[in-house]
Amino acid sequence: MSSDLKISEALERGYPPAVLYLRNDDVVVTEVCAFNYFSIFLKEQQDAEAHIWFFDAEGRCVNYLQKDLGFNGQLQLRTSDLCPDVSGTVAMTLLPKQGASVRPGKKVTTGYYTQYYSRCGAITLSHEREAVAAKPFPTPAWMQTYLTRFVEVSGVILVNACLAPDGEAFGTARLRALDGTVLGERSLPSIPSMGARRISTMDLFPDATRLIGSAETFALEFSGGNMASPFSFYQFANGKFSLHHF
Amino acid sequence: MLPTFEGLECRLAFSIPIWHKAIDAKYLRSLVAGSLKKNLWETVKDLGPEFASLLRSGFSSNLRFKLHVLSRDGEYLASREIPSTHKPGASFEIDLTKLIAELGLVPQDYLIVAVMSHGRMDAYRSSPGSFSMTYVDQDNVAIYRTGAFARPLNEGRLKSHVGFTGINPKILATKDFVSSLMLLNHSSDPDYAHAVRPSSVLIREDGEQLKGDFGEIPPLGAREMSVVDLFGADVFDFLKPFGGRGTTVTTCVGVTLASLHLQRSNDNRRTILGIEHSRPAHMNLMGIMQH
Repeated sequence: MSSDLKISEALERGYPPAVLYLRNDDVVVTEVCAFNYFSIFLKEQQDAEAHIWFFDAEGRCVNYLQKDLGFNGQLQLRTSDLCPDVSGTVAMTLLPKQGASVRPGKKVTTGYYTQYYSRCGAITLSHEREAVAAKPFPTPAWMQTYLTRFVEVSGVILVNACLAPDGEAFGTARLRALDGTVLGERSLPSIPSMGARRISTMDLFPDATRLIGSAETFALEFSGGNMASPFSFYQFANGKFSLHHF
Repeated sequence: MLPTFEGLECRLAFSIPIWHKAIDAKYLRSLVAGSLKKNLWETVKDLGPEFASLLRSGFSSNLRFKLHVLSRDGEYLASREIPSTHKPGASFEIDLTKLIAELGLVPQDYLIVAVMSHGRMDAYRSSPGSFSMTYVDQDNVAIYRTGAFARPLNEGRLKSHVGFTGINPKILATKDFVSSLMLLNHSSDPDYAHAVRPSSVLIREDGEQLKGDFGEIPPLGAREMSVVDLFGADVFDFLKPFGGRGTTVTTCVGVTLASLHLQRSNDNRRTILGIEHSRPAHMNLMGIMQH
């Protein structure tokens, strides 16, 4: 696959793409939504171009799209048209068309959203997460609560946001009670550079129901390296998929 | 400020990351750097309340929570202080629907002001974590999470704002879905008394636009407007050539507003299918060299 702009070039120019989870399968399709905000905030440089890279779960770049966005230009891209049956990572950057100088040592990150349409008629959405990094980076502990009554349909989505070939994501998952007690702990499966994993709570902690006991709520904590901040999810038996960034 | 919705199980949570410390070297460095940019009186005004709260807590990294309930018109109704403290690694979680009933309030839409015993007013007045709002309907769960920032907002003596520009490129008006915008006229000043009246434009892919009046939002109040409320029932025909999709740009001069994007079902129940806070797009341009 060839591309007009390599993702590493976008990083070098100071416009790193930001990552989000990509899911196109029998249950969910992903839409990428963006607006050319340069046309509002940069009166002298109102034309922009969007560059979007699509990676499968193993971090292989499976498609790329460039689209010009003129004054008030917008994008609502049904990604399943470009990469059906691919789940992994999407990374997008918006660049001013004429190029805008970036302050020394600074970077210009991209704001955009994804919407996930369940085929049964639900929508869930997220704004962009971390910018792609050229070098390995630490992932601090991220923790969020889940409802115990949905534990068997719950889980986490982890996206690798490191471009470096040696940037495999790694880390630890902890199951915590609300008072902070660690109920369970295990290593996470490694995720190749720019890859992603959707992992159910029960796969992480098969004994979760017993460990949590009668508590109404529990928490999952993730830390390690090269992971963007995680997403929690519930996927119900009727196919409704509900995703939320930590 | 976080909204509740009548008829839904609304739950609030805040997980305190294990790394959270009330004070550390990075925090102290940023305080010194920030203070050097201000005069002594500004520094005292800005940091005085924070240091007072830190002193009162004995510089503990544990957090306490207090919740205030406001009407959607910004009227103060009740408070609940959570007696327990929460250490790093622990989570605070509460069923707001039950709380509202316990406080003797009638079931309707409210706003919750969640206050922590202290925050972190470091470099970007960053949050030690995110408040998580979970809305459970009979057949759907929608969640959004947003930082608990310790920033002055719409508080004239501490911070003046150029204005609010909220961009939502996820607008839907189809037979199945209708998008809404919710704006919250928030402030860090409990005596805040400024009503606002934002305006919106709906832009479709060919550049054609519709204009809408968002209506007045009282101080410390919130207002949700669907694209039908804003642009009329013709919005479906307007967006139909573009798959029912478009973008809204909502503006309001001189204030900052919190903004939520909702996706609801286009039926009588208007189920909240998805909800997300918006991102301030101008922040993405901070690194650009302006000429």
